[in-house]
Amino acid sequence: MKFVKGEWVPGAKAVFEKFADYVPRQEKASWLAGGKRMLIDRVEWVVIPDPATAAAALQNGEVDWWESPIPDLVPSLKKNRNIGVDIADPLGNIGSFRMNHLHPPFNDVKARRAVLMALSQEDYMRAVVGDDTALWKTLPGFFTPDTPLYTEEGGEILKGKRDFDAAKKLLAESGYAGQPVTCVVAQDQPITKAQGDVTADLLKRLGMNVDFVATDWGTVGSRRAQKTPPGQGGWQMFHSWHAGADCINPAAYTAIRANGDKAWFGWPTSPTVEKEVTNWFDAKSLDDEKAAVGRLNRAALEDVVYAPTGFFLSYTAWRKNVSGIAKGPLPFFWDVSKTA
Amino acid sequence: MVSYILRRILSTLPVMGIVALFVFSLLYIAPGDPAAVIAGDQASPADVERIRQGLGLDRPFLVQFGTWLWHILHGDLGTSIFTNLPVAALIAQRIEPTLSLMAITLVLTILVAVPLGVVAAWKAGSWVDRTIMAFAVFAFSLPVFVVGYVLAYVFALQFEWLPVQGYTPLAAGFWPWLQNLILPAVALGYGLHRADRAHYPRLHARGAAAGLCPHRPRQGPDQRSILFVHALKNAAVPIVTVIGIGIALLIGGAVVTESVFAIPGLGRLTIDAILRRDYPVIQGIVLLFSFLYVLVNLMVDVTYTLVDPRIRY
Repeated sequence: MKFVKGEWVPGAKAVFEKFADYVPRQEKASWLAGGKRMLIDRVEWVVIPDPATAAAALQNGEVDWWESPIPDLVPSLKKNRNIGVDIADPLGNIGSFRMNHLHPPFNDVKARRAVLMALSQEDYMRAVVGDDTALWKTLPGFFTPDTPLYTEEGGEILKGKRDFDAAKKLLAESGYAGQPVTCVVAQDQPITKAQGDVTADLLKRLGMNVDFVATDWGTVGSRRAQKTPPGQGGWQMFHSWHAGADCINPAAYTAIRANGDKAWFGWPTSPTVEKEVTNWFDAKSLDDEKAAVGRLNRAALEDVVYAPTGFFLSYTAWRKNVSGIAKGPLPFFWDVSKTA
Repeated sequence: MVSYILRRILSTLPVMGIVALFVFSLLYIAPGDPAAVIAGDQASPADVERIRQGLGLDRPFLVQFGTWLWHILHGDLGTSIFTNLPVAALIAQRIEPTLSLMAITLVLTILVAVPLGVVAAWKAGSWVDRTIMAFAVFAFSLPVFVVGYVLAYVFALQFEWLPVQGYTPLAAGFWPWLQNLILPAVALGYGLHRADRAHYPRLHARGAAAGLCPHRPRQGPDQRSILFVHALKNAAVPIVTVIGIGIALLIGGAVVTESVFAIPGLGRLTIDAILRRDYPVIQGIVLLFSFLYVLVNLMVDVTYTLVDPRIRY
């Protein structure tokens, strides 16, 4: 495909046209690899900011494919006989919130573990994607389900009935005495907003004094980079999520690293986690890889590098005169065709 | 008159200067960091800091403001820190949809609101007047996006008469252009009746002053002549004022309407720029809007002299 710069409206529309001189490999496409056969002459990638408008545009035949419909609108799309709906990417996403390892109370692993002990992933997932249980599952670990290195080793803390009494006791042992906990939540991202609401409730039920900062993603982006104490512009918690494709192994999994200053926001330090990341890189066989990742999962949960809030999928929807849409972490236009 | 217009145009310069300083200061103290947005979710703090330095965002306020002002004085609105395209080009790309939406909305509003206002004044105190007032209050109470969703559901999804979203340039044909603007313009203009409602009492008062008393017999061609020639002419000044206010409201309303109907205009550019902390784009748009406000006010003042010969500057 060729990018048509003349028709580009940044933030609103991007146009791609078939590149006639491109010769695909003589093999099937496999996501970004293999023979990419373009069966359509032109793709107009339109940004529709409002989900209800996007749903209406798809139903009205003004657009052919909606990359990621919000779960609330999927039932109405499924009722339309001209529209197909399916899981977009089987690798899904992992919800998360991160605690700041530099400042009290979460500089103490007991406080972090107390939160993990009380955390109900089901609550988070129902808030994020709703009651459609085909779309989510609990995740007692950090790696993408149904991939070779998936493990639940050390995941007991996230399983079973939530023990608030034990969590409160552990929190008290950490020395927490009611100081405010600054929880920065982006309201313009439905996933972070939903998670933030559940976290606020969780912390309150643990007896914590929540300083809930409702803001936008741009502000979260800058504030989470602050290492200063929460009272001086810093933070104690923020929410995010990770594409399942990034969480298959430790190579590109920035969020799992625990190398202090060089780690992702929250700056966790865990020599055990880092040792197992190295062991994974040095592994000679798949079994060695699995063993290293199992130990890594255990260590990351023991030190609470971050809090996984569950695994969730999203839908994609298209007009039924369009075919060949591949499931994957990105929309792939090759092999997609459209009839009148 | 010419000297008055020149004075008014010159007086916009200090206004624009104050707006520029105010906007720049506001963005400087507002939370958020474009470097963090550009760096993306997986970036490390060092990556973010490197981008911040590259964009010059680590420099002192006065240096940043001085540089920006210097470029403005040379006709350069700067470069978007998110798309790396000139702000002037981004605005030029988005201005047609917004002006089109505003123009259609204004025409629709005037075509509906002015006759309604005349009828309300003519039938003052009657059920007709009260019905029109109730309609105005109802319009006032409904947010633009609610009206937009209802219109899209009825006229696009149910009847399939009009498109739900998007924009077709006027160069592609009048009907395709108009087709995309009807629903957003109705949604936006519907709420605007609340502004036009303000002129009903004035119209009534002026109508009465011109001899159109609600308690006098309202029969025969003379009454119509009084109503449409004399009363409406007398009411022209407040109507022009309200239209001026309406244009200002349209600029604000366009932000919501363009998002609901996915129109790639200045309103959406504004929202995107704010969410991305794209400071040069925000500053460019706010300067443009403030200039438009001043210009509209000037046009309204000049129009007064045309509709009421007693007004002279």
